[in-house]
Amino acid sequence: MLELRGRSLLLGRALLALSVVFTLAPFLYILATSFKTEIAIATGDVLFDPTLGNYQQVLFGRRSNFVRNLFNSVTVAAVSTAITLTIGLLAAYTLERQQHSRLVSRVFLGWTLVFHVMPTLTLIGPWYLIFRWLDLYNTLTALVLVHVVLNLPLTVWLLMGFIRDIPVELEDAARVDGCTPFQVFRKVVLPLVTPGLIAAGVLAFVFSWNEFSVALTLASRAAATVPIGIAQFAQQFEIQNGPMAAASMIAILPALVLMIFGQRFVVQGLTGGALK
Amino acid sequence: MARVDLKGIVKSFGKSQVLSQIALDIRDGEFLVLVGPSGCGKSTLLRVIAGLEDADAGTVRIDGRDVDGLEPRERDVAMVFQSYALYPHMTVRQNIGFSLTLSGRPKAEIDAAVEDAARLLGLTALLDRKPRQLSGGQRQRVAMGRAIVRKPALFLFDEPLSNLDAKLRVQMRTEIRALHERLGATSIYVTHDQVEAMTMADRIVVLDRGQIVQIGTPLEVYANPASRFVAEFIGAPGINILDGEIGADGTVRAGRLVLGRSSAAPGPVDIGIRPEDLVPGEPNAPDALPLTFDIVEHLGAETYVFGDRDGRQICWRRPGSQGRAGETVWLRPEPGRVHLFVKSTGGILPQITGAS
Repeated sequence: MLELRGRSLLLGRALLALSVVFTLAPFLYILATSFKTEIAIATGDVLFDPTLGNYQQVLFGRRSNFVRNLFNSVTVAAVSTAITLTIGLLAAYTLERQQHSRLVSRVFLGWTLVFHVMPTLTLIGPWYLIFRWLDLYNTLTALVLVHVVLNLPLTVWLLMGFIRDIPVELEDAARVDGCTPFQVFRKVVLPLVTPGLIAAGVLAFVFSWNEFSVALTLASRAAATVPIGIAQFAQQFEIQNGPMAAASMIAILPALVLMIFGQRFVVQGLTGGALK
Repeated sequence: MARVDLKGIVKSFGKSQVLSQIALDIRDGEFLVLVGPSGCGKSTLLRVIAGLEDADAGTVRIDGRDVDGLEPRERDVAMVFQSYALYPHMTVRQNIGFSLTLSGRPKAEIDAAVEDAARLLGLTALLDRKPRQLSGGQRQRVAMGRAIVRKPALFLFDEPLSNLDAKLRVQMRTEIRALHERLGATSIYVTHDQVEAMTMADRIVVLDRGQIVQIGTPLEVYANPASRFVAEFIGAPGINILDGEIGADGTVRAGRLVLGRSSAAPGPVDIGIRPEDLVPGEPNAPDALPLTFDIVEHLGAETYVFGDRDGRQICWRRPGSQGRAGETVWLRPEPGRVHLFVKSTGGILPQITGAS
């Protein structure tokens, strides 16, 4: 651990404070905006009378579709995360533990990375055509499928790291103790990889929750998710700053809760194998 | 309890052959130690017996039953691993009882069996701890408990003591042996530590590069090594090797040292003499050579003295605590305790007959 003393300690603290300000300032600005009236926003008041009007409008307003957006987002994020974790865990276990030649797993992982490395926008056009053709345009199914594809590479990579950290001798011991191959997976591997599943699950859920470009292209009103809903507060002739800010604050909540809960596992996952 | 028969076991990983034509009969209730340097195939052989690896050829029979192609769980064996391989998410109680739980025994029976095993190993107070809360020695005991609770036909040990510190290793060595006396189950124990092999085994199997080079009781293997490899591997400090030659008349010489006669064919030989088989001899006698002490290691009851002879280190193991560096003593080998090996292959040659 790098230990700072004297002036460098002060400098370090200052840099830290600066980065905290940079991170928190926009968040606090939006938080304040969500409690302001449109007039207070327009005049840029620093001190203002807080109002819950924006939240009321977002959640209960006749013109607002935001509750529907929330429902869509929860569905898409939860279902796509569940599918991603299931496929990802089985794939990671197989790639890590089965004695395939290294080439097979390298090629496979390289291929999955393509989806991670390529700008998502280049894939959206073909996806639009495919889902039109499949009659899945503007459905949650389409969003779920695309989010699974986009999330799988990182999930597989993360889970492979966690599985690599499980000693093979544990699986050998379980086999000698009387486990069938499935029981080895179910009773030994699965409990030990749970922190990895939480880490990968949080990342996949948050990604899916925040994903904008695909949702914008593949879903119109019926299947619109939260990011689309937020964007719709900025129409051509009118930008509803207050409701938009309120919607943003509501949208942050699930991800925030998940990150606070899963942070420990995420850090462990991203730095896994770095230290013994 | 069980006999184990191995016939013609062959195993390769890719291009390298790890085991070639292993044939071995393990008797009922025997404590058999597989010993050899790392990479000799001993762990692989154990894993083949356990069913964790499939042999490329050959058969494994446990108690007359052909177990080839059977899963480990169908072989009625228990195994103790080098890393202990305790399930980190289970308590000691669950770890020990895991195999019984899997086989669907009634809970009361499992509890009783776990308690028995725990009492035998002194783990009763630790039953509700997780493995990470235990010391190395305690983990080792839990691994033992997990094996004995099942009352298997065969125990397999894969270097179970090599992660323990020296003192604990000596203690666990006697404990495992005592446990074996008590349970009487057939045990196969893999180690690279020849001291463990010597002290624990009923019979030792020495492996080198995938082949069995000698099978015998510890004392047989020590006193009559089948090759230079075995002689050098077994025994600490190691056996002294001198460059020698069998002359045309059958006289065995090492430099100026004349050791006796051999019936073997003339040619260059390696002469092996254990450190304790050297005794003080007459100065300038033909059967003695001078050793100047470079290093003197006092162990209290005995002393190891090391010196250089024609570029090879010679060790003399003498009782008592005499000796200091720089001193010179004339030493001669005890008659009948000198081993001759073919220089090129390391194979054993007939013993020296009649001192000259």
